[in-house]
Amino acid sequence: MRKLGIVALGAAAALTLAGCSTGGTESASSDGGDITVWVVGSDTPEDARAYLKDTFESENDGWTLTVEEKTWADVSDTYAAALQSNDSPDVVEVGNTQTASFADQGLFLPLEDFASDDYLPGLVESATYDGDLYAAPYYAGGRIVFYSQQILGDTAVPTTLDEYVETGKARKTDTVSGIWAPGRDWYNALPYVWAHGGFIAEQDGDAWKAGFSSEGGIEGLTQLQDVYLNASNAAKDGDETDPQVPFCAGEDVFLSAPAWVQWSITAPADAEAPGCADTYGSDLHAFALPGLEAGETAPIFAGGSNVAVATKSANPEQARAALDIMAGAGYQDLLAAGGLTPGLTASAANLPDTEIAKAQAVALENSKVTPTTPKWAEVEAAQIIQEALVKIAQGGDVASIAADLDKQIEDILNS
Amino acid sequence: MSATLTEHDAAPRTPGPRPPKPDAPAARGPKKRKFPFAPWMLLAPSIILLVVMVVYPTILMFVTSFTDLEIKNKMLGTPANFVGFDNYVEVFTKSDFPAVLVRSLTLMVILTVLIVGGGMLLALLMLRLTKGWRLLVSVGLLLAWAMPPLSATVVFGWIFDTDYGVVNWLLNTITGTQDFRGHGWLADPLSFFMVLIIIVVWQGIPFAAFTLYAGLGQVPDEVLEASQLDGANAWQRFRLIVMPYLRNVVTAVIVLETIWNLRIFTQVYALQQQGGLASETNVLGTYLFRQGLGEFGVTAAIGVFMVILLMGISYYNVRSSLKEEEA
Repeated sequence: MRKLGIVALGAAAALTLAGCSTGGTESASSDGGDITVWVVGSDTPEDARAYLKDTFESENDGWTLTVEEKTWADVSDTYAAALQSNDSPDVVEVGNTQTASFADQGLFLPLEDFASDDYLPGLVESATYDGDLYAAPYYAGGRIVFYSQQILGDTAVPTTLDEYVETGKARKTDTVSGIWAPGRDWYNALPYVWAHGGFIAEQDGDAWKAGFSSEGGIEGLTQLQDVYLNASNAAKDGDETDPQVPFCAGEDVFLSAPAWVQWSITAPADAEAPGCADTYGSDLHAFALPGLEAGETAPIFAGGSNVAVATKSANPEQARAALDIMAGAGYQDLLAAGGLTPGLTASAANLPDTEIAKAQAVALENSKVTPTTPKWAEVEAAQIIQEALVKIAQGGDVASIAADLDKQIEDILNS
Repeated sequence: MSATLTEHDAAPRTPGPRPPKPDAPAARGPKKRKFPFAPWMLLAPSIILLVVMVVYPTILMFVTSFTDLEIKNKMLGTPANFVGFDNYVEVFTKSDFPAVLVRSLTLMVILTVLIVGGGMLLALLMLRLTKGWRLLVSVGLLLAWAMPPLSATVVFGWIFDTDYGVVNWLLNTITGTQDFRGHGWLADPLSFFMVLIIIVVWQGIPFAAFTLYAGLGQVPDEVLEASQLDGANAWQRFRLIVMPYLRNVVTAVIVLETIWNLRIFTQVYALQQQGGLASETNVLGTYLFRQGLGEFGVTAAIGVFMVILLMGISYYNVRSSLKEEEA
């Protein structure tokens, strides 16, 4: 009996010790270890990932680097949980609109001695919180309208937003979307609101005032509802992932998507993520979304990412070294070559001289961001904009949906 | 059944080959002061595990539910403020909380009834099958059970996909129309829950079926045969002979399924990623998860409420099954 008791004690001790030790294994000494980098989505090109791994491992003897891919859906809860744990990733990519909120929670280390003057001012601003820089600008991107000449045929490329919507409606059939517009794709919904003079939220004294139910907001959302109902076959409650699938099936006339989607479309048909290099991708064209008047563009959402070092990183020094590679010229050149507007201004010279790259540059000239407050991330996490758009896509009453949405946004921003 | 149990339970209580009573007081005297070392050592692993995995987190959750703890506090090392019942007031005055609660409870009832009912039917079926068929059914059930819920939900999400789902294609083919082209199964909350129920029941039935099947094996054939000779029909035999024997097993299955179905999370969350409106399809688990980023106080308050709710629901069942054993 007593012997059994001792065995039991031993087992219990082993269990408790095992529980304790898992936290410690990550913290390696200075002569080696592993650095984990989280990138979001498939937009970071493969050659850039390989460059990061090779450069880091050759510059830091005995160290390895792992790149893990997360999805944009992860970048609130999963990130928050991981970044405050003892098993935190070391370097993370985070959306430009979310950076301030993460910095506010103390999840990022401030970056000392970073030459922020060499980077895109818009991204630097999004990464600055309380006067300190918390993240390095990674890339910026804007949405442009793709089309395949084989599908568009003789139809003229629209020169105004109204013409764009009319063409989309005219070309819609049971199987083909004139404009592919899934309901939860809120980045692509913003240009309609902005073009008509609406806004997301503006600071009015101390309080935030939301503007989806402003006169321009209602006009924009009404036009958007017309697109959802009469120009698009996309799922009313779908999101914007894998837009190349319907495009490559020949089911889209116009597809508004980030510029890097060109690589998904022009991938070979037998690739792991199949594209249609030989069919609809063979004569891929793009233009900047037109504005209300001919000759101007609609304001688009200035998307983008920053990279930051996690506060809980076990090896902040090496993490910073990895971040410096990602913000450095060699890596940023590769991002530019992949069609992403690089955070490092000098690397922009490396952007491919194609119609698509030019369309993106034109589109980004007229771009806007979401309200700059740490509370904004909460609005995104609550997904209230997406839900309101789904209801609009289902044919709901625009005015009352917009009013409800504005109230929800104001509740969060002013709390 | 009660007779069998009494005999069973009584067995360990009998003194066995121990010396007769007169000796006992004298022997017990000195022994009483000695700490019963061995039993406690044997209990230690489970007690330590329970304290680490259940007691400590529960206490922490109760404490957190009365504070305004945020990620910031943890990262900057500042203590959280004690806010009394503010978090509870906030949760219960939120306009959407009652709807979430009703939705969760309704879903729990529907799922539990379907899973336990379906499991019982399958268990009875397995009892009648020949060996080969029984093996086939068991393997099929095990495969469904072994599949990670997340993968299962993603696959079912594709089956019901708006644009390229096989269900829409099949319905179009059967009806010979294009009525189901682009039909969004997840967009409408009711059909969202229909898909969800299919997924959860499909994965939940194997456990219930296996457990009940094991229980059915305990029903003595003689009793069944005797009742049949006395003229009891199949339904009467099931209700009056099989069910009393199975009572403890059924109670255990119902209690477990109730708890599992109320705290359901993975399937709902994964399905919400594929479509539908989160605000109209949230259950307690996902509602808790979708609270503001790192608002631990409010989420802990919802957690405490769920614990109390589950304890309340299981109380009656656990008590009646304990009573049954003591009888």
